[in-house]
Amino acid sequence: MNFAVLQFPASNCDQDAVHAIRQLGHSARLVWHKESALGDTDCVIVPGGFSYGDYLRCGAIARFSPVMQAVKQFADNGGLVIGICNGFQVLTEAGLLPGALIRNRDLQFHCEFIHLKTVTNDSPFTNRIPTGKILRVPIAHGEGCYFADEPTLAKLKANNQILWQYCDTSGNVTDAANPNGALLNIAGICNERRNVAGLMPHPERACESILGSDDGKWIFESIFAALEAKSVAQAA
Amino acid sequence: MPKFIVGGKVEKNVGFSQEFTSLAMLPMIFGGGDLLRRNQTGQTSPHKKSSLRYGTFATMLPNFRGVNRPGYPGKFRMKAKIIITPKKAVLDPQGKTVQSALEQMGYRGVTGVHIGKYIEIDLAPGTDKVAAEKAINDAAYKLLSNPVIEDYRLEIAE
Repeated sequence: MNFAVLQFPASNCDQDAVHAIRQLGHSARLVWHKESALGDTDCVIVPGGFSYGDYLRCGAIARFSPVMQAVKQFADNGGLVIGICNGFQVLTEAGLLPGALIRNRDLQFHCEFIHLKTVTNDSPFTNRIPTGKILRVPIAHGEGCYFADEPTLAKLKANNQILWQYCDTSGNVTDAANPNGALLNIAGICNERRNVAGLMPHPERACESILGSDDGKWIFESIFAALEAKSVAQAA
Repeated sequence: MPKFIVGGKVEKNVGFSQEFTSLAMLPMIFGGGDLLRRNQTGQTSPHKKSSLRYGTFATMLPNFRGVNRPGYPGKFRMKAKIIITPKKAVLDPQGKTVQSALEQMGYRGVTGVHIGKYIEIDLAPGTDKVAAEKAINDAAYKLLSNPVIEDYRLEIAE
């Protein structure tokens, strides 16, 4: 499978994402933000970092870069897109995902391992995560507090669009386990069509046990499985 | 009502404007930037530092913010002023922190602090005010603010 990892000025998790995909046995390449075409791509990763210096608002300026127009079209055609951390912020700013990410409630930058409960396996990003498995992955953000108005939250719940919630080590979704004040402990969501997802935690930094956890690989394994199912369906 | 200094200007009645974001950075990023260069010329003014320090006197100094600057003899340029504030329903931890600091300092009667942004856009002299207002409203909705979490107020000053 071919992964396109976007690269904006001040992206800083782009190489990590490429490394993670390659060491999981698939191909990945970087796509510069000024490119207006993605080329042969099965899945787009919008990586973490501080695109355009986080000027104005996180992701606000990256959204207007040429490559994002191509990503929008790719998503409109049903392509898989996953935004990690700053990538999540870019996708919400671009309107590809609902809601917004605002300052952490304690105003501090959090750089630590957290625990994630997978709310549903019904998405290309979660289908391979073992039932009941609590994912231990790192976060590193100052503006990861998920916000959406009441009707949007109701819609997210009704359509089963909440993919991951912050939880404690035994999987309880509690306020104490919420690192940033995100509404409903939301760590990651997908769009209504379920082909675009975003999450604040960094699965690409947790794909090898030498890094302290390899739980992040389950998210990528899910994407690989979804893409393989798709290519089998297309061949048939 | 105390006066608060914002980006070398004195702002009244806008609460705390924590970040002064100049739109000059946008042409820098996308390559363009006539406005930017003019702005930079202004910022190299020897009065820059003193204007920040003595906000109220800044506007009296010659050669400040377009007044009597080469190319714009004796003219004030048009400006669009945009004040962006968080929506009421959105958590504003910065505002809350500042509010509790004010209370600890003994300031009474503070019932809320809301931290937003103030953006100033310089417009070429003679710009049509109605057209500018329309265009900047559009820009404010698409880029300058995020309608999911923020409201904005726009004013065109001549």
